[in-house]
Amino acid sequence: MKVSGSHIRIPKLGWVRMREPLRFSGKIMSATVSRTADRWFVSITVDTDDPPRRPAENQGVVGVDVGVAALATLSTGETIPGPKPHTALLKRLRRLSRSLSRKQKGSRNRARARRKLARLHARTANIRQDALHKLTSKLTSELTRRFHTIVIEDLNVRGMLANRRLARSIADMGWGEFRRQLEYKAARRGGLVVAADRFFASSRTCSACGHQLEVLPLSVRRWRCRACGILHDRDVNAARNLLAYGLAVLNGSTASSAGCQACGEEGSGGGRKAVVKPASTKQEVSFVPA
Amino acid sequence: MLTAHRIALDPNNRQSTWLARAAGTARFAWNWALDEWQRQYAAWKADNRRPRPSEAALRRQLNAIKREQFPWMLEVTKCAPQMAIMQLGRAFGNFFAGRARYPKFRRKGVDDRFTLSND
Ligand SMILES: [Zn+2]
Repeated sequence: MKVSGSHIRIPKLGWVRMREPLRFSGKIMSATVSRTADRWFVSITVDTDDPPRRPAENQGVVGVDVGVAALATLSTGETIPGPKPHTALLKRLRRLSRSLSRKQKGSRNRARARRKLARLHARTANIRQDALHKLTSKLTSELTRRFHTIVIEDLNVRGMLANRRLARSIADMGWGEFRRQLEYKAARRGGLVVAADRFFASSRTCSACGHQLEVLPLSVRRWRCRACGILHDRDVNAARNLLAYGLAVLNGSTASSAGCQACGEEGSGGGRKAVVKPASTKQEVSFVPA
Repeated sequence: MLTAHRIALDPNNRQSTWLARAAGTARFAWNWALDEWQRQYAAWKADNRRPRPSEAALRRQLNAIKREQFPWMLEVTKCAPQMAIMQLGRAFGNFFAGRARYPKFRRKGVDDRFTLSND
């Protein structure tokens, strides 16, 4: 097996065209050829020197709230809308599924309907993947490398998917994949991803005064704090709380990163445990809270 | 550092047929090895003097019989069946380590794939 420009040589088959040249240099370890819908792909594993990436320039911290309405809301107030490809293409999906179910088993028409449906599913997945990669890359690198530390929620995604009213919207956002990408991309740059405790009340705590609401229904997008009177956007408030959480975690554990306690949080008492994924590279966080 | 790059292929008709056959060969080898593994494992359970199944032994076994029993395997790259069995070995490793579920049989049209090694 050999790669040359936009071609790959597969033994016994010969040269096959690829859509783009291999982006990495180094020893090629293996290649897996796979099929998605009716397209073939090759995944080439390269043993490459760790590409030099510029680390985060300053020590900025950001809280990121993932949601159903917007894919992500940053503590700076920025929102990143999600494409919701499944919701958008649901009509077509229904039509094709129905069309498939009406075809006789084993027929050519059925095979064709199946291919059409498979292509639509692949398209949905591609749109979602594109949006997630753009967002996580933006957070870890592009955004002028503002953020060294990214604070997110530790979501019980599987549990939330059990809610049949919300499952479709949640699955359409791809929260689990978002976190996975964020963690590996941050690690490549020596950044830090802090996951807030699962029971951290990020949405229903006032980010200005710390007042905590008993309940906050999902339908409430904005609310006014009874204690200090500030009007909150639900998602921005949550992101700000996550930011505060991250700052507390980092201050409580200077230098030693893993398994620290978040202190200074009001609420149900007892130190909350935070999951801090240390980067694989050197980890000397000389942290200056913003 | 290992980095993977996934690139779309533009095979012509002849080539995509070949790719599908290679994927089919890999699937067959996986299923054959999984079946054989289960049989040998049961035999070992019953009688501890029998050899325990292993990925390397299964590869040797397939190499010994494929010329007579599965001559069509030789039409695609030898990597396809070989890597499939190596991957099965890894799947069992993951299973025994508690990281994954018990390996399943593969089905045509679902996740068609094969792997080439570079040596
Ligand atoms: Zn308040």
